[in-house]
Amino acid sequence: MSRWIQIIEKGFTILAITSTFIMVCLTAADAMGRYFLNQPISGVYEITEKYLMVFIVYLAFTYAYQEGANIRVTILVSRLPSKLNLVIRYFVQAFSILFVGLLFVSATQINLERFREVVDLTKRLSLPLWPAYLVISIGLLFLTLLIFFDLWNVKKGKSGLFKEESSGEPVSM
Amino acid sequence: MELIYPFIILLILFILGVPIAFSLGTAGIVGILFITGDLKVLMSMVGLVTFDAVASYVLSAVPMFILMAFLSSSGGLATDMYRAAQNWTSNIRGGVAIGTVFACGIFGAMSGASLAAASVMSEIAIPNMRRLGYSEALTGGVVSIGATLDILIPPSILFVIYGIMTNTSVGKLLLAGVIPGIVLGIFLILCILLWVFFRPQDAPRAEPVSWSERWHSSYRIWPCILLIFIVMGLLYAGVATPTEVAGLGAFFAGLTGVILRRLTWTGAIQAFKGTIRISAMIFMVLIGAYIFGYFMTLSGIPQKVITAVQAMNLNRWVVMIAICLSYFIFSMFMDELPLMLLYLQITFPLITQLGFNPIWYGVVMAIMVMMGLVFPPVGLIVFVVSEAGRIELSKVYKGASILIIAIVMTLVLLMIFPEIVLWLPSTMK
Repeated sequence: MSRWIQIIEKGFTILAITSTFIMVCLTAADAMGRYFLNQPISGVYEITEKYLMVFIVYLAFTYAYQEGANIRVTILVSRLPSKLNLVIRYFVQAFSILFVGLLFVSATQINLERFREVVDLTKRLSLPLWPAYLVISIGLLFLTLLIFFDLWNVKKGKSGLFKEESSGEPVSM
Repeated sequence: MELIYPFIILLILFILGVPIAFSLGTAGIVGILFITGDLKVLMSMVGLVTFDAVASYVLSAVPMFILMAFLSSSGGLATDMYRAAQNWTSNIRGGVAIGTVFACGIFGAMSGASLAAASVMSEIAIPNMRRLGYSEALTGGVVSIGATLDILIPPSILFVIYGIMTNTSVGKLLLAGVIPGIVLGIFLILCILLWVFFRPQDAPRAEPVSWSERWHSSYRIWPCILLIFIVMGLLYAGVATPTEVAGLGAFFAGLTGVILRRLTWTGAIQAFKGTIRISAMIFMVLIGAYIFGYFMTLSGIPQKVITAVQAMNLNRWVVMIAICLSYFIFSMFMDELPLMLLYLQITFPLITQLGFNPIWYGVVMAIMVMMGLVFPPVGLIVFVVSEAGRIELSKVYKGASILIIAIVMTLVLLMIFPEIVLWLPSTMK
């Protein structure tokens, strides 16, 4: 199972990186085209907003989770005895499964209703929004599964939720 | 009365160490359920948030500004800048520390991530300052406080998020940070000069560098100047939107690294990996904050706070100082991004109702965030500097706690003279 998880996570990471690269190139090309050649690229705004941003964020969730990129208040739990701390960790892990699972269910429900929606790139060209909605559901489903399978790693201290606990994960601001 | 339950749940989840994004989301879900009593409405709201919190053209500036920071450091621009700044200040006592402040400020103009700046500057500046005999407290303090300049000097991710959450012009917010950033830099330099005046043993005099060496090192920083020109010039001229500036900045940071043959394939992949990791983390917190925001809107709590404060008939500056002090206390226990998002939902309507300018409040909020990032016990920048620079945590805290005076002085000055913040955005085209 862990091999499959690694393969899927790697695939998601590659797609998220590719989306970031495309977004930078498109935005820069659009800006330069508009101001130097008076020729913007149609649809960059919509593609960036509706597709690329969704791809980057939802496909990167699993990588971020595995890397321990979770902001938590640890100042109190870190001072508890190790046995109690372990019980709390199991609770946090189970709670996280429920929360992300709820996000997955609610997102999938609403996305199924909006499955036929389109976004107009130009007066003549429209694109379906379902790929973006699908990526949201897939990203959240995989994250839920990842946190679920990590339940067995809590005791070993290898769960993605509790990595980098001592130093605190930097919020980049 | 039942509106208090979501806050109690939030507090319990924080204490138990549940990720902040999930805590905010859960508290919001419970609150929405209390108010609407309808599971279907709740599921629709939460479902919508998963798309709406992410699918934003303005917010796409966040990953691109992060990438710009990573590519700038991978391409060796920060090292060149540090060398040039250090060379020009080599003839004065404490000059290397002052050079570090300059380098932090210039790096801040090329990146929007203060923790990236802290990490990069720690690796470049700390070994050099240690070699020259600078005390560890001064070294750690200078790099920590210097790195916070990143938050004020555009591009700043914090201002992008603040602008989105409060419907304030992101372009004006980004420019509003320029002069306060310069003022903070000046105060920081004054503090360093005072420090070395009273404790000269903490900063031995360095060997002055020849003029030819100074000019030579300055010549190497032209890519930095180009990047700063792209970011500041385009923003000020109103020629490009903040998102376009972010795209152009990241693109040119990468292109410069490739042309100068400094950006390796591995370096570029690491930069992209770092970007998606931090972006995913920020957006998970934003999703939680959006759900909590729905609850706040439905509950009408901000309006109730406004009514309660107005009934007290307090001077608006008393309210502002109370907000700043309480923020400072909470920031000791909580990370800055979620705290800012939580605080904004409660205080922003109140602040605007009291007649404070939203752009000015954005800069004040940024300064509060800066203080939280370097103040114990959860000073994330201090953790990064201590770890990357291999300096004892207590020594970094000692230095930062002294030099934090510069941030406090800047905050006081901005409160007395709000024009320092508002002048530059008012001249924007």
